[in-house]
Amino acid sequence: MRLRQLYRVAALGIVGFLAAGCSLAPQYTYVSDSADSAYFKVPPSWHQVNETSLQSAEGSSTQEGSYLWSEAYDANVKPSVGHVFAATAQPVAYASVISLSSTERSQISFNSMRDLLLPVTSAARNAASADHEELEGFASLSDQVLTDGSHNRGIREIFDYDLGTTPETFDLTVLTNSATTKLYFLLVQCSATCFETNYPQISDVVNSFTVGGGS
Amino acid sequence: MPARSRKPGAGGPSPGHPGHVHVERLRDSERPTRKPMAMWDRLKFLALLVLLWLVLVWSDMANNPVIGFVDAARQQVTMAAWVEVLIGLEVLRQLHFLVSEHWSRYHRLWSRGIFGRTERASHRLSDWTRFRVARALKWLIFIALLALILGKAYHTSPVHGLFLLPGTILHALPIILYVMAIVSLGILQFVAIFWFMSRGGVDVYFPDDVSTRFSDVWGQDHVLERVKENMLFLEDPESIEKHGGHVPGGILLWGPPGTGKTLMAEAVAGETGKPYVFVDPGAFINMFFGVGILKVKSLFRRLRKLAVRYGGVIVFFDEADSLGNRGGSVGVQGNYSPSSRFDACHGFCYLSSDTQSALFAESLKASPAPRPPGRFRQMIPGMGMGGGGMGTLQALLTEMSGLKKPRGFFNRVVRRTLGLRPKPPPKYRILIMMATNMPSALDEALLRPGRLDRVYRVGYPSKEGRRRTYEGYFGKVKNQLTAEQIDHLATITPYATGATIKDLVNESLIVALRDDRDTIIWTDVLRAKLLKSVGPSEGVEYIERERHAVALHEACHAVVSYRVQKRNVIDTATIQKGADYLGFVKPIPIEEQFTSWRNEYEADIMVSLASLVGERMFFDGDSSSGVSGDLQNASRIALAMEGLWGMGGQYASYAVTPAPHDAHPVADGQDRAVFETTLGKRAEAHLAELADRTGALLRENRSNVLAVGHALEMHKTITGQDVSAIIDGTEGPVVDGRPYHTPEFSATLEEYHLRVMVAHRGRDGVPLPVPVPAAKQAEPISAWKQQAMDPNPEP
Repeated sequence: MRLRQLYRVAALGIVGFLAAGCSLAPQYTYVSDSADSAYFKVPPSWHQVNETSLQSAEGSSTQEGSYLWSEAYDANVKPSVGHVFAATAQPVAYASVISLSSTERSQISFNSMRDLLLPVTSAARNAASADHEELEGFASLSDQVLTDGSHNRGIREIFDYDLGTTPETFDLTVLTNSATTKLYFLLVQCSATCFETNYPQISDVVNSFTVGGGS
Repeated sequence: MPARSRKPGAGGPSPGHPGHVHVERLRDSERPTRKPMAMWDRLKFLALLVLLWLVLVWSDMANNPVIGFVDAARQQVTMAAWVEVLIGLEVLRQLHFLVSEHWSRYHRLWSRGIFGRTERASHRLSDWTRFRVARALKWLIFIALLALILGKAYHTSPVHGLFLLPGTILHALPIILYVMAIVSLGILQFVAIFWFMSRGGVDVYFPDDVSTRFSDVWGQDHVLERVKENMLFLEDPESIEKHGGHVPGGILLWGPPGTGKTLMAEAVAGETGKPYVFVDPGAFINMFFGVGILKVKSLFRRLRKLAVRYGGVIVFFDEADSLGNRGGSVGVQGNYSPSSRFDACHGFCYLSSDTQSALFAESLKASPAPRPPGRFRQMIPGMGMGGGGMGTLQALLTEMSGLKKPRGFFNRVVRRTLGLRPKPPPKYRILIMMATNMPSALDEALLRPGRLDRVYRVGYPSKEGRRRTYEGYFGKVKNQLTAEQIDHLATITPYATGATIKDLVNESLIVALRDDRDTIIWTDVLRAKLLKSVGPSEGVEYIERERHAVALHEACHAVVSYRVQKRNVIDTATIQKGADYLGFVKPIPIEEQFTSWRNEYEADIMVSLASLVGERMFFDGDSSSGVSGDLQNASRIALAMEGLWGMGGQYASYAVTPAPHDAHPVADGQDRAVFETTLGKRAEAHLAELADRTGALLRENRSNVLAVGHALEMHKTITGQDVSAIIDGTEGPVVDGRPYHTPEFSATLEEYHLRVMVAHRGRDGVPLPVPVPAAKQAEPISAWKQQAMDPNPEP
C-alpha cells in the first residue's frame, strides 16, 4: 500500500472513529471514589440522589465508623433520598465507604457485615426482637462470602424484609480492604416484585462493585 | 491570473539533464490557488488531537477499573468536548485549505478579500499601536487560558477561579518564601565564593607610599618625558580640557625585558600626587569562568571611586600580555643567545644581528607553529588565549571605553521612571598604563585610541643611556673605574638593559669580593662580562689535538670576521664548551643599522665558511663535522641572496612562489632537489667563489690564525680586544699580542701545529705542551691583575 493511500485510510479512520464516538452515549453511568478506590456502574437511566441530602440523612457516622464517601442512584425519574431509606417501586443503589477505628477493626466480622444495615443473622434478629423492633418477613435469599486477589474480603447477602406496607428485597455487598481500615458497602433495594423484575439490571450493578488498591 | 512562467533562456534542456526543463517556482502571491499541502501536514494536528483524546480515554480507563474502552470513549465524547471542538476546527481548517487548493476564486476571496482586507486595515495602525494591541490580545488569551485551567482545578467557573488564585498564592506564600530562601542560600554561597576569589591581585598605593622617582630611571629619557607629560595632564586636567581636549586615557610601554618599564611605572607611582593602583599580572588568571570579569568590574569600580575622590588615579597593568587576546601570535625579535635553536656546533653568533634575524626567521618557517605577519615579533611562541581569556579581556575593553556612560541603578532606572534624565557621570580621570614585552600578544582593540592612546617603545637604552645607567649603578658600589672605562663599557654592551647592567655591576662586585677586594676594578668588570656572555664553563677538558682543532676552527672565524666584517667588532671568542656548542665567536655591532648590504652578507658567509676552509687548509684537506651548522648558515644566506634579496643573478623573488604556508623547502626536506635547480646551482657557485676568497684570506693570515688559536688554547676565552691585539701586535686586556709577531714564536707555533697534525693523523697524543710566549710566562690571572693596574687600557 502506498503511503498516500495509507494516509487516506488513516484520515477516514479518524473521521469515522470520531463520528462513531459522537453518535453513541455510554451504556452505563460509572460511579467512582478514586480516593478510596471504590467503583461501580449503574444504568444511565438511574439518577444521582442529591449528595447533601444523602449526607444529612445518614449523619456523620454510623455505629461502625465515620463516612468517607457516599453516593446513591435512584431509578426513579425523580431521585430522592427518601427512596434510599424506604420501600420503593424502583431500584435504588446506595454505596458508601466507612473508615474503621482500631476498636471497630478488631470487632469486624462477616456476621457484623451481614448485620450492617439490618439484622440478618439469627442472633441479630433475636436481639432485635428482644428490643421489640418491628422487623418481619425476613427471608434470606442468598449468602456469599467474597474474596479477591487484593485480599479484600466481605459478603453478599440478598434478603427480604417486610418493613412497612410491601415486602422489600435488599442486595447488600460489604467488603473490607486487606488492612481492615475501610468498610465498603453497596446496597441495592426495591420492592420484592420490582427486584424480581429488575434482577438482571440489579445484578449488573452489584457485580460491577469493585474495591481496588485501597488501604 | 498570471500563468506559470519560465526564466528567459531556461527553456531548453539543461546541459546536465537533457530533456528536463527548469520551471521557475511561483511566488505565493502569484499562485492562483493555494499551494497543495503534504498529506502529513494535513493530518498532523488532527492526529495529535486524536492522540490527546485517546490519552484522555486511557486515563479514564486507568482511573476506573469498571469502565471498558467503548464506554470510556463514549464518556469522553461529553467530558472532553473541548478536544472535539479543536478537532472540528482543525477539520474545518483543512477543508478550507483543500478547497483553496482546488478553487481559485475561493482562494482569492480569502487571501486577497478577507485576509487581505484585514491586513490592510491593521496596517492603518502604526507599528507601535499594532504591537500594543497584539500584546494586549496575547495577555487576554493568556488570562483566559489561565482562567479555564483554574476553573478546572478549583471545580468552579473560570472567572471565579481567577479570583481564587491570589488566595492560593497567599496560602502558599510561606512555602514560596521557604523555597526562595533555600535558593537564595545556594546562590549566596556562590556569590560568597566568587567574591572571595575576586579579591587580590590589585594593590593601591597612595602618594609617598613609593620612594622611586623619575631620577632613578636612567637611559630612557625620551619615553620618560612623554610619561611625565601624561602625568601633567592628569595632575592638571584643566590645562588640556579648557582647550577642548581630553586627558589621554592610556599608555602602553612596550619593549624588551629589563629595559625599565616597570621601574618607570614605579617612578610614576612615586612622583604622582594621585593614588596608584598596581594590577598584578596574575590577577586575571582564574580557575573559574567569570571570576576575571568580576575582578575587572570590581577594579574599575574602585578606580572610579578613587578617581572621583582624589581627582584622578593611575592604574598600571604589569605584563599586560597576560590579559591575552582573541587571536594567536608568534614572532621574532632580535638579540639571540649563542645557543640558538640551530643545530650548529658553534651557533651563529659570529654573524651580524640582521643575518641572525633572517636565519632565525627562516628556521621558524620550518616549525609548524603559525606565524601571522606582524610588526612586533618575539621568540616565545604559543601566547594568545592565556589567563586573560574567558571574557576578562572583553570586560576590560568594555570598562575602558564605558567610563563616560551614566551609571547606577538609581541614576538610570529610578530617575528615568520619575521622568528625570539620567545624570551624566563625573569625569573619571583614570590614566591606564600597561607594560609588556610582547605587544603582539595584546588584543588589537586594546590599542585603539580612546583606550590606550599612546604607545611608547621602551627600547634598549642608547649608549648615553647605558653610560648613565652604568654610572648610576657603579655609583652605588666602591669602584676605581674611570669615566673612559665606563664609556667604553657602554660601547661594548650594545643591547644592555637596565636589568643586565645592574646584573653586570653586581657580578663585577662578586668577582672583586672573590679576590678579597671590596672595590671593583676594570678587570673585574671584564671578567664579569665574559662570565655573563659565555656562562660558566662545563669543566670539560678537550684532548690536546681536539682542543687545537677547535681553537683553530674558532680562530678562522675570528680572523676572517676581524678582516671582513666591518660593521661588527668581536666581543668574545671562546673554546669553552657549553651545553650545545664547542666554542663561538660573538660579534657586536659598532652602530645601530637597519639595512644590510650584499657585501655584509658576503662577509657573513665568508665568516661561516672560514671554519671549513680553514680546517681543510690546516689539516691537509681534512675537515670535521663541526662545520655543519656553519654550512647551513652559509647555504641559507646564499639561497636567500640569490632567491629573495636580489643579490645574485636574478631580479625575481622566490618569496612569491606558491609554497605551502610556513614551509621552508630546504629546512623541512620538502625540496631536497633545490640545489639541482638553477637557484641552487647559482647559490653553490656563489659559495664556492666566497670560499676561494676566504681561503686566500686565511692563507694571507695563516700566522694570525695560529696566533689566535694559540691564545684560545691558552686562555680558552679572550675578548675582541685581545683578537685585535694579537693580529695587530699590540697588548690586549688578557693577551699580549706582541710576542706573536716575533719570527721565533711564529715558527714555534708552526712547529707545534705540525706536531699536532702528526698526532691528528696517527690519532696519537700530542708530545709537546702548548708553547708559551717568552714575554708572558705568568698565569692568566696575573694578566688580569696587571691589567687592573692600568687605568687606561687600550680600547
